[in-house]
Amino acid sequence: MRDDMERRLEDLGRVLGTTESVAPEVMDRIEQVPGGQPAETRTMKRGFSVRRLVMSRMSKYAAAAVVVIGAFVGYQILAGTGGISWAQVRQQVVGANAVTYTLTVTAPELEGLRLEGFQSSEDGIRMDAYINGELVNQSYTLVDEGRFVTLMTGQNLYTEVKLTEALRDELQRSSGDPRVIVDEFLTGPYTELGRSEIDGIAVDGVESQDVALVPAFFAGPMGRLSAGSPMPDDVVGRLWVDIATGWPVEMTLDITGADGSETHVVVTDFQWEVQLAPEVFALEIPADYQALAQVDMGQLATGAQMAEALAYFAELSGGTYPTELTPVAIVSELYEICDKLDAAGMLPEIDDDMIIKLKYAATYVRDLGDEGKEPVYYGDTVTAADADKVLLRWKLDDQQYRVIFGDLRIEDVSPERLAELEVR
Amino acid sequence: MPVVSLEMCSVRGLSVLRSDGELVRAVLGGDRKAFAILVQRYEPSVRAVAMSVLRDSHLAQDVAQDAFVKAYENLGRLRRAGAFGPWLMQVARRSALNIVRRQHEASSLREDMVAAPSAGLLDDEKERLLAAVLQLRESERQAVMLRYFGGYRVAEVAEIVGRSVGTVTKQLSRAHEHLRVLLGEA
Repeated sequence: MRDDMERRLEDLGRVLGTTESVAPEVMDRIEQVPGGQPAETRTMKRGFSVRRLVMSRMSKYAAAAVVVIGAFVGYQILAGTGGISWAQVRQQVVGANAVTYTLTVTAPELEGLRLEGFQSSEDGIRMDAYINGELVNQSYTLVDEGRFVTLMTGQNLYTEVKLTEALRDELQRSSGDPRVIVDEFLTGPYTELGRSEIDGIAVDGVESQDVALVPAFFAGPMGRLSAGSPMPDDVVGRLWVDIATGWPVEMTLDITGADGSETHVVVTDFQWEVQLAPEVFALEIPADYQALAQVDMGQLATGAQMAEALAYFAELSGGTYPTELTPVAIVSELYEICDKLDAAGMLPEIDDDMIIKLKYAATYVRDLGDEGKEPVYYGDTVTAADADKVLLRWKLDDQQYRVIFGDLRIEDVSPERLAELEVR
Repeated sequence: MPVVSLEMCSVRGLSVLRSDGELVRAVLGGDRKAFAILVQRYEPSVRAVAMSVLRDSHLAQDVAQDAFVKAYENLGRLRRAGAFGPWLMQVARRSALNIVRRQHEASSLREDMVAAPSAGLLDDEKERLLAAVLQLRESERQAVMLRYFGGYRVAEVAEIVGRSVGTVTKQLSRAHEHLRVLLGEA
């Protein structure tokens, strides 16, 4: 909110801003910098190495076992065909218990992004995200504990989501997992590329232009929260598999956006069927980290947490709800609201916890749709003033629907009653 | 995207401004125009830091120029690209203190030069306020400088520093409280 201190700071800023800009002189002078470039003496922290960690924790015997299993399966995949059997590749990969990999993205907004992933059917998923070698984020999906935790390194913040059993299973299945990507490649339409070589390894490849590859590459908890982004229509994916073992060596995805922007994704550095050390999934939230948001997905089913988050949004907006219940629309509309409030000197502290709860509510509603629970959201027409109009509803069973009204009260109603309410 | 923080992911797609980190990486990749954006972004803040040390608007202009050139030359030494703003303020402060030191050594100015009036640019109240701003903790100081000296909207500050709007609104709110304490008004 605008206060006296804000006015005084603005006055001070105005006085400091009256002086002539030094930008032209600065740019002239840096033209004269010897070599023309900043000194190349960057001392980035050494990146965490998947391979180093895995190999240091893996006994020699386990490493040998991987080689033996690989050789045996490779024999099976090649036997009697003279070429690779893609059906058996798929079967082998989908059945893998653990894999580590590196995913690198080159895109206009995400240059230098690298993800190191650890996937274990027994323990869970860990992803470490780096931008230009700098660790920015670590996320853990812990199967036994039913938790999804993201540590925002550098910001000393974390988010914690208590998962339902169904959601935990879904995250296990679709979390940007290379096994899912391979499954998507080989169950959809593809063409064979023939043989090639990658880093001295003889490989065989397939190419797919199926847009279904995009969510497979970009799925996962974060992908869920970005849902609502338009899907591209120009996609080329390639999968290269080691001819000797049948294990994937590299996967690439090239996406061209409607605006001509290009995104290139490479998944590589695979370690299939590795024995991951327990430390990989040993999450310890540092004592000086603060919770940015804590969400209980089980509570979303009651509607109460959703109503609380929608109430917060309406408080900021002056009575309207997000026009669409997607994470992208929520953030986009929130920014517009913040800009307006800011311009009017009325911007309060924003509660990130509520915004994140609302984004999770949006993913929950989308999941309800996937489960055939018939969710319908009317935020484009219903406001806080429409006390008795249906804002959001979904099916509980054949006899009942849960309804959140414009005034955010929650009721369970019969299908007949719902029909009456919805014609209003 | 299966990566980065919740806020970063969803907000990036809507981003108009490039964050400091992105601009620094672009400069290191050979894009000098990206540095011009950083100069424009931080010029009022650098000048403010120099003014607080030198209390001379002309000298502060010179220091601002020097600080940006030094920052450019040493950009490769910056450990975290996203920490450009606070790092630049340290460069500016050191540049200003070097001038004070050199002038003292040359005895070209009186011993009490630092306490000299600010060439009419800032009155007493504004000088006290500026001194208090510079005593704020790093994250609050950066938010205040970008918001009030740089004239950026809160959502833009969030984009620049790579934080959520909620975090920035909290930082500004706390900064106001701390300023009142520092100024003895709490």
